[in-house]
Amino acid sequence: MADPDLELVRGTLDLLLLRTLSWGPMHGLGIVQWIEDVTHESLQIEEGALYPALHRMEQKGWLEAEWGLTEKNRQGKFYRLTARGRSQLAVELSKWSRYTSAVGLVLAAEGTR
Amino acid sequence: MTRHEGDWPARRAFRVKGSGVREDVDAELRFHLEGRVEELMLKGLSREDAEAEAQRRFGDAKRVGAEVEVIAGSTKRRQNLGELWLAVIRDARLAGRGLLARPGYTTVVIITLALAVGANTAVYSAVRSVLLRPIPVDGIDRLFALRVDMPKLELLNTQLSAGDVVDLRERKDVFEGVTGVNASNMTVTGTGEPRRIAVARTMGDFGVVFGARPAIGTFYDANASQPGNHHVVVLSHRAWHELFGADPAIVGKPVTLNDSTYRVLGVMPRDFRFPRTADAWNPFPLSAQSLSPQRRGTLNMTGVARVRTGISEEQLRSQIRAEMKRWKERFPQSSYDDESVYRLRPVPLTDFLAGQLRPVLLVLLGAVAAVLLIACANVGSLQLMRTTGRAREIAVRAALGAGRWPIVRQFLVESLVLATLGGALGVAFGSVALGALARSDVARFEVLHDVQLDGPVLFFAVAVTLMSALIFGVMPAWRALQVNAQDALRGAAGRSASAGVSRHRFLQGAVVVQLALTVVLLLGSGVLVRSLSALLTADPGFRTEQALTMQVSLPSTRYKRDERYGLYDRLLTRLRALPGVDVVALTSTVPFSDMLLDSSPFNVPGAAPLPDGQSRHANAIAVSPDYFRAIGVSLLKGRAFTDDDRAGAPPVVIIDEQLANQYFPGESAVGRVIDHFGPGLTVVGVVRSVNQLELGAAYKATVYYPYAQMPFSWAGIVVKSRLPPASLAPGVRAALREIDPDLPLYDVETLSNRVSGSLGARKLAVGVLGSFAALALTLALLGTYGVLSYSTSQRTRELGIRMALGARPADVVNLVLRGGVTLAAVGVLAGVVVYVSIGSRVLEALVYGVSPTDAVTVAIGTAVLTFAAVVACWLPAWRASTVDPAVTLRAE
Repeated sequence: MADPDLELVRGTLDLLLLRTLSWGPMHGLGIVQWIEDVTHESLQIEEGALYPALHRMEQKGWLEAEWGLTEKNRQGKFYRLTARGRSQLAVELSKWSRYTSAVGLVLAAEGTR
Repeated sequence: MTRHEGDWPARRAFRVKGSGVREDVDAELRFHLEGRVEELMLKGLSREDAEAEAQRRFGDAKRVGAEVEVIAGSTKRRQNLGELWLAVIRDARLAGRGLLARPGYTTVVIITLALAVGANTAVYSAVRSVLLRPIPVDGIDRLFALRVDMPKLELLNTQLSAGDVVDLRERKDVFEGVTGVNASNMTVTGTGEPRRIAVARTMGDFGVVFGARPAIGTFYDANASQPGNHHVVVLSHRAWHELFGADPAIVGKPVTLNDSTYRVLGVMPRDFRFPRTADAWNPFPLSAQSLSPQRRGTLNMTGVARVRTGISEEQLRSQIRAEMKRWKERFPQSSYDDESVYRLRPVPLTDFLAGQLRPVLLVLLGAVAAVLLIACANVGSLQLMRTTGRAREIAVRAALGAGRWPIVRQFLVESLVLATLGGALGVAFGSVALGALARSDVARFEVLHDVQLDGPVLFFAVAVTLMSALIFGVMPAWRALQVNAQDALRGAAGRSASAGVSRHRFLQGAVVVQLALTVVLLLGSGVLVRSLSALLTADPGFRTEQALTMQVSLPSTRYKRDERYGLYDRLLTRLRALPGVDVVALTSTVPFSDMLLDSSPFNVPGAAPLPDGQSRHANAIAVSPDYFRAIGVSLLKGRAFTDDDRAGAPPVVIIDEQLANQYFPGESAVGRVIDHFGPGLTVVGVVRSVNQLELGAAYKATVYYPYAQMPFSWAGIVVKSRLPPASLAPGVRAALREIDPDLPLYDVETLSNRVSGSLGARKLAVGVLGSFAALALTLALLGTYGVLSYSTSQRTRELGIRMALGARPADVVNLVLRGGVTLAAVGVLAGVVVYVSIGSRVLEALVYGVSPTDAVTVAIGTAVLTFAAVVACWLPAWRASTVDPAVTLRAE
C-alpha cells in the first residue's frame, strides 16, 4: 500500500532511475514495477513524471534507448545506461550520501544552546 | 519469474522507417498503459476497472505525451545530425581514396579550381580595398565629394571655392559637416635635412566629416582657419615616426614649416589616410579676401560633406539645387541656377577615391566571374564524364538497397572535397598574386597598398568555393540518380539512349558556355590591348624624350615676391652650365605631375559678354622663356617670352591653341588684351595645346605667364640634355645646394616616366585581363577536346558499324569533326553576341582610340578561337578513324 507520507523528494527521481537501470536495460513500466516490488509498494513513482525524466536523461546522453520485442511480441522502448550515465550515477550517489549524512548529523546533534 | 515483462529485450525491434516522434511517443505510452492494464487484470480487476485504474495512476496522458514529444524531438534531431556527420565523414574518406587513386585527374581538377578561386579572391580583395572600404571611416556611405561641372566651359569634375564651402556649411539641415581640403607641400626645416612634406590644408568641419580622432592629442576645428589661429598642425603617423622619432611628448612642440613656427596639436592613427599622401594637416587660413565674391571663381578646395542620416542621394541633389537658387539670388550676375553652366554634383566618396581604378576593377570583377564559371563548367564536365565509369559501382550500391540519397550525398561530398582543396590552394595563389601586385609598377596607386587577405576576403573565398562545389557537383549527382540499375549491371549503361542524351546535352552545353565566355574575355582583352597601344603612341602635345623634371620651392619668409626670380635666374644660369645640358626651363606646372593647376576666370575687356552669364575660364601656368623649347611645343603665332619680359615691363601672356579657338575664333589673338591674373595682359603669342594630366584627354584653355612677371613660390625645373636624363639629378642637386643649401629638391622624375606612368591602371587592366583570357582559352580548349574525345569513345560501336559497312576513315573523321565544329561555332557565335551586346558597353569607359566593337579585333579574336577549337576537335576525330571495326564489334 502506497505510503502517502513517502512522497518522492524532488530531484531523487533521476537517482532512482539511474540506479534501477544500472542493473540492466528496462522499459519504463518495468522500472516502475521493479521499484514498487523492491519497496513493497510503499514508494510509488509518479508516472506522469517518469517518461519526461527518462527522455531528458536520454537527451543528455546518460541513457540510450532501443526498441525491443518483449516475450509477448510487443514493441517497447528499452532504456540502457551509457558510460556517461554511469559516471552521472556515481555523482548522484555521492550527492545523496553527503545529503543524508548532513541530515543525519543535524538530527543526531544535541539541541541548540 | 517477476511480473514485469523481461528486463532484457528478447529481440531487437525495428520501428517503421519514417515513423515520427509523435508515433513513437504514443507507442511508448500505450505500451506502458497496456502493460499496467494486464498487470491489474492478473490481479483480478475487470478490463474496464483495470483501464480506469491505469489511467488514474498515469495521470494526464495527453499532457505527458506533449511534454515528452518536445524532448524526444530535440533528441532525435541531435541524433540525426550526428548520423549525418558520420556519414559525411565516411563519404569524404571514400572520396579521398578515390581521388588519390587517380592523381593526374585530381591534380588537374584542383589546379583548375585553385586558379579560378585564387583569381576571384585577389580581385575581390582589390575591389574591397578600393571600391568598398578605401578609408577606415564610420558611415562612409554618407560621405560625398562635392564636385563642380561647368559643361559649357568644358570644365568637368573640378573643385569648389572656399566661399562655396562656407556657404554649404550653413545648411545644417542637410549636412552634419562640410569641409574643404587643399593639398599643398611645405618644407620642414630644423630636423636635419630640409624635407618636403605633403600638407593637407583644411577648412570647415574636417574632424566631423572624417571622424578624425587623433591617436595622440587633438584635432583643430573650423575656427582655427581664422587668421592668427592657424599656426597649428596635426601630424600623420608616418611623419611622426620619420621626422620626430615617435616622440611621445610631441604635443605642444613647435615645428618649422615654410620658415614659420607651427605648434603640434596631435598625431593621427596609423590607418587614417585622407588625403592619401598627407603627412600633416593644418588649417587653411581664411581671410576676408579669400571669401570675397571675386574669389568664388578660384576653385581650389576638394569639398567633402557628411550628409545627415535619412537623407537620400536624390534628396541631397534636390537640396543642392535649391541652394543654388539661393546663391543665384545673392549673386544675380552668376549662373548658379543654370545647370548647363554650373552644376554642383555630389559623388559618393568611395567612387571619388577609386577614381581611375573603378571601371578597371568592375571589368576585372566581371572577367573573374566568367573565369569561375568556365572552371566550374570544365570540372563539372570532367566529373560527369567520370560517373559513366562509375555507373556499375552506383548500380551495385543501389541494388543493395542503399537508396538514392546516400549516393547523391557521396557525390556532393566528393565535390565539396575537391572544391575545398582547390579553394585552399586558390587562397594561397591569391595571396601570392596580391603580393606581386603590391611590388609591381602599379603600386604607384597608393590605394592598392592596403589590399590584403583579411577576414571578409577569406569569407568570400569560402563562399565562392562552396558555390562552385554546388555548380559543378549538381550534374554528376543528378546523373547518379538516373542510373538504371539493370542496365548498369549488364554493362549497357553507356548505351542507354535517354540517359545518354541528357548527359551529352549537358556536356555540349558546358562546351558552348566555356567557348562563349572565352570569346568575351578574348575580345575584351584584345580591345584593351589595342586601346593601350593607341595611348602609348598618343601625342600629349609635347616631347617627352631626354627630359628630367623636378620641383623646388621657396619659403615665403626668406624669399619675398620680388626676390624669387633672382634665385630662379641664378639657378637657371648654373644649370645651363652643366655638361651635356641643352635647355633648362621653369614651369609652375610640370605636365603629368601633381603640381597645382587651378582654373580661374578671365575677362576680355570690350568683348561681348558670353551668353548665359558664363565666365571664361583658363588655367594659369608661369614659364621661363625657354620652356616651350625645352618640351618641344611649337609656337603657332607671335613670339615666345624673352628676358625683356621681366618684372616692371608691360605684362604679357602667351595663350594656347585651345583658348584661341574657344574664345577668339577666326581671328588672330596676338595683340588682344585680357584680364586674368591681373588686368591688361597683352597676348604676344599662341602655342600648341598640351595634355597636362591625361593622355587622350581634351585640351583645357591655358594662359602662360613669364616667370619673371608671375614668380610663384615654387617652380618645376625641366632639363633637356643629350645625356641620359636620370644621370643629371646629382648635378642639379649640387647646383641648387651651392645657391641655397636649405632648399630641398624633390619629385625628381623623367618626363617620359611621368607620361607612361599615367597609364598604370590601363596596363594593370590589360595584364590581368589578358592572363584571365589566356587561362580561359586553355580551359575551354581542353574542355572541348575532352568532351569530344569522350563522346567519340562512347560511339565506338556505332563508328565500328559504319566502317564495317564501308565508310572510309576520312568519312569518320568528317563525321566527328562536323559535330565538334558545329559545337564550337555555336559557342563562338554566342560569345560574340554576348560581347557585342553587353561586354562592349562595359568597356566603353576604358577604351581609347578604338571602338569596343572594333571589327578587326572581333574578326581576329573569333578566327583565332575558332581555329584553335577546330584543332582541338581534330585529334579525337582522327583517333576515331583509326578504330578497327572488327575489334569494337567483338567487344560486346
